Amino acid sequence: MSDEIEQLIHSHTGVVVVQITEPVLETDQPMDWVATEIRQWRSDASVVQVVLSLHREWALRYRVHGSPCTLVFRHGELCLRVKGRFGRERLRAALERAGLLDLS
Amino acid sequence: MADRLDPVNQMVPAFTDLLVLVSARDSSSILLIEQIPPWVAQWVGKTPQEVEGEPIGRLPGDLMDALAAVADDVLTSGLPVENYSVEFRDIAGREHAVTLSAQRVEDYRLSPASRARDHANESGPAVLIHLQDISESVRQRRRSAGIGLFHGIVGRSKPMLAVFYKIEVYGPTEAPLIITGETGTGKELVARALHERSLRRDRPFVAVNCTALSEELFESELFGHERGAFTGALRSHKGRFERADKGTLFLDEIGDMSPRTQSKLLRVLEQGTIERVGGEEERRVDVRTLAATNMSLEQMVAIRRFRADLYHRLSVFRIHVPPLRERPGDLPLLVEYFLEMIGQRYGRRGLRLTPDAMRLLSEYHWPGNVRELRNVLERVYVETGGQVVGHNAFKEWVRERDYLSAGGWNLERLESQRAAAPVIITPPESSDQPRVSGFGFGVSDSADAQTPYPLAFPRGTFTPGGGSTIDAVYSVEHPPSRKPKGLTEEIIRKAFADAGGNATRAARLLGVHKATLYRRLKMLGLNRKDLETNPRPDTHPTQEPKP
Repeated sequence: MSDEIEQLIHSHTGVVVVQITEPVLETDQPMDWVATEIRQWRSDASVVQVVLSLHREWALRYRVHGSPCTLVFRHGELCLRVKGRFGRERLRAALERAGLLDLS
Repeated sequence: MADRLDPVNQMVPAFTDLLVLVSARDSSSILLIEQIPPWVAQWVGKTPQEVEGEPIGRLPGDLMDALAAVADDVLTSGLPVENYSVEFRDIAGREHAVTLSAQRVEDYRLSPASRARDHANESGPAVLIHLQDISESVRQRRRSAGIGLFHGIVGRSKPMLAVFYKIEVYGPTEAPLIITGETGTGKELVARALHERSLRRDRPFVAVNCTALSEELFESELFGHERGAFTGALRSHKGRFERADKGTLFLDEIGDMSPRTQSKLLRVLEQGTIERVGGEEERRVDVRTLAATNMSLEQMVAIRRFRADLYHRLSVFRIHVPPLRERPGDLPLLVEYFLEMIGQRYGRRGLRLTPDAMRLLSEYHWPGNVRELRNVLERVYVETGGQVVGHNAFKEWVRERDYLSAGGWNLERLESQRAAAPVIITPPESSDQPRVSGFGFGVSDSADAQTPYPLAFPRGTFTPGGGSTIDAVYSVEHPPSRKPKGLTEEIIRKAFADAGGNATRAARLLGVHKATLYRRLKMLGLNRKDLETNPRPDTHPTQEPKP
């Protein structure tokens, strides 16, 4: 399964968003809206949800030890890592900073 | 967190939950611990004095790796981290969890007594990490997951998993839905779960019990009223529909709604507008309607007590919540869950039931369903001083249930039968109850065999002397199959009386064919006339003594 995630990251031509979650650690609502929001800005985005406890080794490769965490890959490379919970504004700012909102 | 900083010195007071990391003088990528909460240092087997001034990357353990990674991210990106949760093992191998929030602070000044002073600049960027120990709540959540908790509903049985599945599927839709089920099965919990799974979850969930209010009050409560609409309407009032705007309105016991209110409700559902009592203005409302009933709405439609058009409007989807007796496997989970909940409320944890007490509960048919179970557990919990509750603690409750039950159980009669045939209780053969720790099932010892209480429970399997099965009681709704020789004169007379002298119904109550009943009567030297003239010879306290 971890290999499949890795394969997707490297084979997908657009942006791959990986949402890492661990239900037992999180009391708030799941951040499902992130996928919708990113797709609004990046129609080429492919979104994957990963449960941390099932893919801990894989997550550690990207220095993720907890949840929630959002990773964005482009051309197989990690270009954004946002740990913890955040709002729409923060997401937009982070994507902008990572050059992921350049739609021209 | 930044507002905690001293605005002049950019130093932080020694908060017990704050970790402060500063860059090393030689390399900005090395982060030194300037301040650490003692309970965090303890997890790596150190005191704060031992680790302050040390690079965090050198400390062992998953937590330190996680903290170093977060601090690196915050320091390089400048973006704060909020509510990031990490689960880890401490140096002794115990599991813990923390939630942390971190932010970068510019021009942070070291405290005068800082042990990092030798290796860090006097001032510079720092990362402040606020830590909160959530180990206990995570443990609790794990326990909840273990007992199959889904939005506050406990269950792992097939019927309940089907309910959970429907909640998942129907939740995000906008369609009205009807929840059916007996009283006490948790219909409102299902409604709340549907709301939680919907896109309206951040909006209000408003519940209204259609039985609790008179027709006039009900309309005012549902649609609101204008000032002066009726005597006592001193000010205008928002109804439940308006309060539930953009959210979910839950109409409990909708079968009790009057025909007039039904037609008004139908109009609201069709047009999406309400009119307050005494008002002229139509107000638009955006509400998802969930309704619940313990009646058969189809039957009510057939006898014209419920509008067919409203029925079709409301029942786009349907979820039936099974009664507790149809999911016996969930009983131990529910007991465990309620004991935990009640224990929290009363501050006395760790209470558990003996296998006998558990078996007693599993033999009962639970007409009041989960609500009744919760109530009886709370009662026993309060009445019992010890940590372990045996079946004797339920004695009084069993007696009460004995007289209140639909089958008209009679404990004294049962006791006399019990004395005649010592009984060993065995778990139902077809039981799908999982073996939850602390709730094992086994054969009662002889002391248990002396207790008459389980006999009041019609769903049990009683094995006298390990031989043939005798069920000394009967149930109106679920007649057990029985062998004719178990039918004593007393039982037959009682069944006959309860059946109003109707032999077919009496036979059904006894779980035998009518012909078998007549054969048995013949064997006992009785005929119908005897039964009709002397219908009830037993010693039930509410009955007249035998003439």
